[in-house]
Amino acid sequence: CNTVEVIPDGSYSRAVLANSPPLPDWALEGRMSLSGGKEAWSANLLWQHDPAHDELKLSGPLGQGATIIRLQGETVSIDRGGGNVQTSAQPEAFINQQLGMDVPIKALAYWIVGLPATEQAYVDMPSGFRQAGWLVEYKQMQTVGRRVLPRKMTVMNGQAKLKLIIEQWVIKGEDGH
Amino acid sequence: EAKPVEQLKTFLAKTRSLTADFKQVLINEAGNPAQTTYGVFYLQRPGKFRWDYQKPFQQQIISTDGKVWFYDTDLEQVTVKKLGDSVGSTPALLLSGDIVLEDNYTMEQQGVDGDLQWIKLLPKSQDSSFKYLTIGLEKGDLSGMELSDNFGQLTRIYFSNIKHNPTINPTLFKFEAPKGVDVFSE
Repeated sequence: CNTVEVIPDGSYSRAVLANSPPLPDWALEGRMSLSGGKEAWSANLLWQHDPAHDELKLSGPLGQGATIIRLQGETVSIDRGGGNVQTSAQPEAFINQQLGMDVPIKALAYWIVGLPATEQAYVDMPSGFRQAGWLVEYKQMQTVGRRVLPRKMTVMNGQAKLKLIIEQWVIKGEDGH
Repeated sequence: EAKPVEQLKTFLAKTRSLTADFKQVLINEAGNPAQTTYGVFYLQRPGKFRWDYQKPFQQQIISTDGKVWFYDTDLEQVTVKKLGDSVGSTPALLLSGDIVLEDNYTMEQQGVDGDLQWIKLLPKSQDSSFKYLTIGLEKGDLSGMELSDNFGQLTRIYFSNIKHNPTINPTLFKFEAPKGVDVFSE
């Protein structure tokens, strides 16, 4: 369906991304790892985004221990299946407390498509930018239809380091999706 | 012909070691394959196994001496966990035959299509990280596995090119972290 062609020098250019047409709903499939916080783990990641909400599904190698994070405005819920759902109005604190994942989840929804979060200051860096105390770096980009989107990125602050690999992007309405 | 549950026990009893190619398919809620991965599975009783994911990405899950190493090449990260708490260990642990099936699972014959028999194993312990697991046997030989996660999403594993009781190079069950890779152990 889409051409996953890794750009040779894989260089990130915020300008290119800022000028490309705004992204409609998207979904991605990949993997993520977290270290430095209370614990270290890695998981398969399925992420579905539309302007109103984000849904992240994390699971182990054989789909086990699946957990879904749903984010809608300021409300976050963590669903472990079988009716075990917990909700909070403090997304960042709740996700950190529940999953040991100290990451600004709302900003991550922007960072993952290669852009700083809106209405917040940022500083350009060679292969990314710095925002809200986090260093976001894009190690590799990939071509998705006519767009350029991240394939490998890291998000770090003093304590936590998040690594993300995006195997496949699915952009609604583009490339036969 | 022995009942499928008996066939499973016989298979486990006579399998000291095993290698097989596998194809793993994640079926999403809509019933369509969402992600397909390919690799090789190694088993050496007691207690050693290795899932070697090769395509489209590389991951290794290696268990030996009660620990499980999980290494993702792209993520350049290794996590080491005790066998019990490692999420990825249950199916292989089951195949490694170190646990008594009846003590840990209630077993039902799921169905027969052609000469493929499916056996459903329901974990007796509540905190298991999967709802159920089915094992497919073909003429008494391992052919597939299916796991349902706590949202009903299925992971199906198809085994092929199975070799029974081969001698397996022991280094395959030892994990050496490549230089520059973060290693995190419990």
